[in-house]
Amino acid sequence: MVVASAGTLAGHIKKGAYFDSVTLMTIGRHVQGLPGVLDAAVVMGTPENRAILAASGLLLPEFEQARDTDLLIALKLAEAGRVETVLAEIDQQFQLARSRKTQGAEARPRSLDGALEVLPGANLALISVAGRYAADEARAALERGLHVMLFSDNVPIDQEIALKQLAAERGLLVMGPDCGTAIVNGVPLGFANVVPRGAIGVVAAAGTGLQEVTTLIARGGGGISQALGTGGRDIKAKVGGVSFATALEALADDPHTEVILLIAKPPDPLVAERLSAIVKNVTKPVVTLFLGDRGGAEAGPATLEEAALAALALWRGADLATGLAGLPGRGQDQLAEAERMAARLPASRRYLRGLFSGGTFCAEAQVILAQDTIAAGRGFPLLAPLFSNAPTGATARLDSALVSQAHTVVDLGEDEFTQGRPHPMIDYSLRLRRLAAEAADPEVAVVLLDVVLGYGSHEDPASELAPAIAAARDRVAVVCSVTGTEADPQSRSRTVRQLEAAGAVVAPSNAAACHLAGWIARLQEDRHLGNTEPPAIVHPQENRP
Amino acid sequence: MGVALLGVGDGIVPGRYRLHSRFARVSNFVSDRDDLVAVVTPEVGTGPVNVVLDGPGDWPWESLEVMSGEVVLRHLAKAPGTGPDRSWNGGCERFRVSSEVRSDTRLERVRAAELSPVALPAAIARILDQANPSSLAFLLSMELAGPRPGAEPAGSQGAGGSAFERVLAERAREAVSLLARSDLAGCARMLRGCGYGLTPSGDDFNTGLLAALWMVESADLPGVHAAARSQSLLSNAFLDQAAAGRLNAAPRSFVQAVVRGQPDVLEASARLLAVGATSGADFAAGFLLTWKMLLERSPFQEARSLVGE
Repeated sequence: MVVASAGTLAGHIKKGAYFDSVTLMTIGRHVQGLPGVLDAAVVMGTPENRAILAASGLLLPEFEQARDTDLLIALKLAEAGRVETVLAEIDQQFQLARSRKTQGAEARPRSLDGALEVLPGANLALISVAGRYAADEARAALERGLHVMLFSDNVPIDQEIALKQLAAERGLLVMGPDCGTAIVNGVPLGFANVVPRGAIGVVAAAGTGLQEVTTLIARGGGGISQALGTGGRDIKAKVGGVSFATALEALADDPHTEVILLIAKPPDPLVAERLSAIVKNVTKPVVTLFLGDRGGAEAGPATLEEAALAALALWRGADLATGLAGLPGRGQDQLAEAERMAARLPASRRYLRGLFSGGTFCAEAQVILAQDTIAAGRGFPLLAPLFSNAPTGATARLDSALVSQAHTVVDLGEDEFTQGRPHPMIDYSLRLRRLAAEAADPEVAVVLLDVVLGYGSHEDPASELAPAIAAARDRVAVVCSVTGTEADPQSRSRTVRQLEAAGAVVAPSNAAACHLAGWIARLQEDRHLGNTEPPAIVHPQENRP
Repeated sequence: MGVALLGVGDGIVPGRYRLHSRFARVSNFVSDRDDLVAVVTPEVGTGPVNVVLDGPGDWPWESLEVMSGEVVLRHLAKAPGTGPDRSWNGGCERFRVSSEVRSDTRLERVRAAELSPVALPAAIARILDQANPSSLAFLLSMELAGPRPGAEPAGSQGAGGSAFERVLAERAREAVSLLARSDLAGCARMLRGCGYGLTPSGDDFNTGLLAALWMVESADLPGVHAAARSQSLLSNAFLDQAAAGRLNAAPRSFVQAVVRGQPDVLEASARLLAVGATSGADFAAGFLLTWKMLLERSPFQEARSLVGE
């Protein structure tokens, strides 16, 4: 960024660009020898260096905003017309310095400009820096004509709004902030899975939700054209669904996308209205899942699994009912499985404890456990009361995220657990401790776990979980879902085999795992209360027109 | 990858760290509490916050976890298929920390009776002769050996130097005049954050200053330490360690050799000068100038009389 040109004084700030002192001194000397350069300094932007620049007559007002990790280039020139030439020469010097360091090795650019020098044709920047710096980097990327995937969280909402306005003006897409997952032109970005390319395009405001549907589509024989994340805040009233709408329109225009799948928690009503208006003009089939709010559309999907199956059915030219045909039968099988597992437990063990690494999975669990699918006709939810540190719907908030109450589902990816430590999809230590603690609780019947595979996640989660499951299996039932594909680095089948060998029951989806675990707890609670009436399983699909 | 763990510093705070900056032989990792761990090659050597791994450096690691018996390095969030070593992005390397690899980087405190004046002039001469001309070593010339042509930072006096370097040199001279008047905190405050690189020269100078104060258990140490801390996370890590009597291998050898008059002081000086472009020389200047000042104070007068200024 050229920050100013005041007479013969000019400057440049390279944000977040650091070089060793040898490089800085060498380049500083070189610049001083250039024609028309009267004086120059190339230094890091510490307050003290800025004071020295001021005393040297080389301080530009814009430098006052610099940080100690920003590089300042200050120039005093014989004539202002030389600014661009000199700056271009300095850039070339930095490029030379970089190429010397990376000779024979992978290029490791340390700034956006450096990255663009290495890969001039790039049209998307993935930004993962501390939240307070992320908006600056995203703006710089947008100004250079790049789409942005903003992995960073803790970006202030006013900055998110400003970035999305800028993107909209330039016809660009901002995925995020807090966008953990995307698959663009077949390349998984962030926490994403290896799925085949295909004709189903996905827009999701939820990272693990996006992983679940893309992997279920892949396992169902379909493929993904594009999977675009927007970050959870995009669909709130303040942001207005800007990125969600842009992504939806992009898929509508994409010749390789035949079916569009939209995944989000319930958006702000005005955002929902805006999206609905766009969908009405899309000529391709669109499947929408606003998790926990079906807006009266009883024929639509209620879970991530149903949404994925619906998209697959539409892609194959079938109808929704055909796509979901296998689910009711699975319910009967799962009840038998639940009865078998519950029979091993004493009646005093009756509570469910869900320990989730995916926020969307935790939300989906609450939706499913609060439904009356098992207790249809009885007029009460599957499990109640239900507690969570990230409650939705009728779920109550836990007094402390660290202490379970009755039936509890915990999102271990919430800030209270991730401050100063990696995400639970990478680091299982917290979950392992919690699993042991829950198993030791004499009232707990079943522990429910999500295991997310793919890029970014733990390289071998089964190796961490298996010993803990084996240690817990004699006291509680352990039910897992494994989100992933065979092509993932961890291999889904290998992971499933290890978990099953340790004593877990692995369900085909998070929704199925929630149903199974919920039924185990329900059966145990009935036993505890002396209710011997067998559960009446009525899958929601059977009630649909 | 077959990488071996050769050293784990004794000043490392257990916890989780993320990549801060990466150079050819050093990858710096920081925690949310701004603690630092530097993963370094054997050429850099042991240090209070160093994890020494064999190999050529430039590793792909992007996060680090230090536990009591284990060091875990991970690289994350790389797209696949874009290079030979990017097959997938969940790479992880675990190292067991045995007692053999734990580095003891603590300096030994010194009593007046143990001081030897022999090595001080030799160290000063060697630093002056071989230091990068842009380092703060020129201050040794000014304060200890009298003006020496060519020992000023390049450009600080000549017509070819930048105004920045001239002002920096003037500021450094002013700081040293404060040191000479026993205003150690004032000196440290004036120099902190000044100069090139991610650990500016002034911070390296202050690291030497703090190491000298630690060795004699100076009562000034806490105040000077507070004055020396800057906005630079990396600098602060080294300043904090020096204030706790811990140094990287090269400055540690140099300090012990100077203080005890060991014969290998010239070799230790050469090793120190090889640290960074100016870092080693800047540290040496800070240590030697402070040591001189301390020699003038009780209980070191007797030793000072032997220095032969």
